Amino acid sequence: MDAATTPAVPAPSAPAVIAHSHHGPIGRRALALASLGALGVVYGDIGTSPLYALKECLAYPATPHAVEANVANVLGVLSLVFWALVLVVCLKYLVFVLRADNKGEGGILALAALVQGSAITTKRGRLAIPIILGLFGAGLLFGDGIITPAISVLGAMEGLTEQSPALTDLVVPLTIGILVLLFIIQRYGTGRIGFAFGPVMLLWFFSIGIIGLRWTIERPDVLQAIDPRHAIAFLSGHSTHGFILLGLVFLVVTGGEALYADMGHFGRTPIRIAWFTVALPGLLLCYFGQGALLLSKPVGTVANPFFAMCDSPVLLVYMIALATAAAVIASQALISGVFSLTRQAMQLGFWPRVSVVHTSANVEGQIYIPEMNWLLMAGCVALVLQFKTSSGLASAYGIAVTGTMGITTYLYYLVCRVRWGYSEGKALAFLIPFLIIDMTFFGANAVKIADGGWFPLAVGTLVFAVMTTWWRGRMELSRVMEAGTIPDEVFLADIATAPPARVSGTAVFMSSGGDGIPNVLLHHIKHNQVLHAQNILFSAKIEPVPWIDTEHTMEVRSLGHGMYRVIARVGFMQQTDVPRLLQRCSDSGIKAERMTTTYYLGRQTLLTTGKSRMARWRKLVFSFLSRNARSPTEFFNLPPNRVVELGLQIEL
Amino acid sequence: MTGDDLIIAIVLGTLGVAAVVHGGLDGFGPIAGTFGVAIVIQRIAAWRRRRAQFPRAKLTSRSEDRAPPPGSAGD
Repeated sequence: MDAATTPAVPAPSAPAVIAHSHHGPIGRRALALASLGALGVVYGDIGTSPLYALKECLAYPATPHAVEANVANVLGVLSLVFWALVLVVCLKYLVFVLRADNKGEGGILALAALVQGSAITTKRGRLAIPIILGLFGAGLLFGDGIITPAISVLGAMEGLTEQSPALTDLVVPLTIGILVLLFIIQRYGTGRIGFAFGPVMLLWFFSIGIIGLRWTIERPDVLQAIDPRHAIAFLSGHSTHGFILLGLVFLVVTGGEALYADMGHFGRTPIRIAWFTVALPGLLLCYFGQGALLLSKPVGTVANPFFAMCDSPVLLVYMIALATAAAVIASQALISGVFSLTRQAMQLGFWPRVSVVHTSANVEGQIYIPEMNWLLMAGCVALVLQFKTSSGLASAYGIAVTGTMGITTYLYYLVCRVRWGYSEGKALAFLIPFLIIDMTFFGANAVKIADGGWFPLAVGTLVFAVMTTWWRGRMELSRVMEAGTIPDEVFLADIATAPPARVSGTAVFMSSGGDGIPNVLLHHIKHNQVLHAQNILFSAKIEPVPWIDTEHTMEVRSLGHGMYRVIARVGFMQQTDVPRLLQRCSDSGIKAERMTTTYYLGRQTLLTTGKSRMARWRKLVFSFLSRNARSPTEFFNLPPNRVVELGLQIEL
Repeated sequence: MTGDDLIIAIVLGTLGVAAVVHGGLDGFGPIAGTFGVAIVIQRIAAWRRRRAQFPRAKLTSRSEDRAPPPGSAGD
């Protein structure tokens, strides 16, 4: 899976014109550019599946679960591939799911937020079920996402074995070298090379289509596979093994979630155009070509049908180079996707603060998150070292994304019911058939859990546990903090009757709630016994919508005695730049000049001995995450030399 | 038990059953080990960054940078 993995992936290859969501009608040239950009980012993963997918199904005896490549099996597998692409990608995602945009953004988190609107919790203060499912789906995408770079680059490098068996030993070191290099260059951003991603992927789809066409012309009878009866006959004839093979057939659609995840950057029309005009024809021709090749050669003699289609050394070298480039692009999209998803989760309060480095001055979405980068690299390298071949990794790949796809189907059903007011019958008409497909693929992949499927499940669950623990911990922390606060009126009455000394300048106290005096201000006045001439109680509310026009949603209230309360509402795709937001309040009489403004933050030391409702293991995890989270100074873009932190000990 | 606890319990239970039935999870040890090493390296790097950010802490530990005692030539 690729950028897929995420609700909204920064578009490394997208020209500036499409760097932000565009949801109105766009010109023909811009549409063509956006479609080209979508090819480079959205279709990287699904586009590199031909490197390994059919091999896993039909390269008997080279791969462990493959069946003999006789006519019935080849037609059966090709039929499954064809109908998987049609039903899952064309019908489910391109026709239906793309319609569910959250202010232009797509992806599982945006979809969950669309179901819930602004209320992400239940009346009892717990996370709502759609949000929990959305978070779990996002976690699973993290898990499967780590596999994408490893399997794509390994699949491309395995072409070397086709070139010469003596080169087989180089496959793993070269794969690791490419992956490590890819992760090292992340800090510099991909803006400079991103423009080439779309054209390279266009060349890739064109090349695999032409090569596939050549073989399809030799054995045009493979086109019979379009008849779904071949798929049914194959499944009924192979019983259990057929079911296991279905999990491998799923490899052809693992990048499907990307279509939806990247909708915010390209819009649904360019994504549809790129799929139906370039990606789908190229993929189908390539799969049919591989099937034709297998039928043309004696059974059991083809170990890698993709590279075996290249029957001249020059063509083989060309395809290895192009496949490597395509695999790197697919990996890049995934990496960018993980950065983007992490940032969104952080903004929504589901992920500890991490440092976000902007690698482009022009495109806000182009970011680099060092911690995630190195963890991804460790995961990819570990997978390559452990599994060594794309066949080994194929066992690990797929289960998590089938889970995410099933969750997407259910959330889409909820959107139909809750948002669009569809009747139960009409919504179920979508839910039931697609859920059956998703669950069938999920079941087929579930048999691979011990073989490697545990990895994405474990990573996904770990990510999910971190997200829910961080959210719950913050809620508990707010509850404890609010218990120690006092109402505005009481505080104002106090400073009216016993005015503290005043010093010039502005003090900004960050406050999590919209009411009450924040603890940090109470500590400040208790210990320093002084107030600034102007004091601002600032709350930033990250709303579950991607973008908000902050210009018109700032709420400024004068409380008297030089006190102001400012509430800023920010979308989860936007950065909370407090100094900039405060400058927008100048019309309300607020002066927040850089050199005379001090920002007061609380630095909490958490003790896990309190009576909060969190499980002890969650308290320990939350405490660990809090200690290691980046400072709010960075998160709120505060000038570091204007920040004062006051220590507070809190029992959870 | 809340919904998120339930999901975590189901997945961990599934992985546990798979491990018991299969006699272990393929590659668990090496992969977990690689992650462990990566996290240790990351923590060391973070610690070094913090040290670099606060050079004064380092300076006070060096005898030549300490303030001269009262009555000495520097007084």
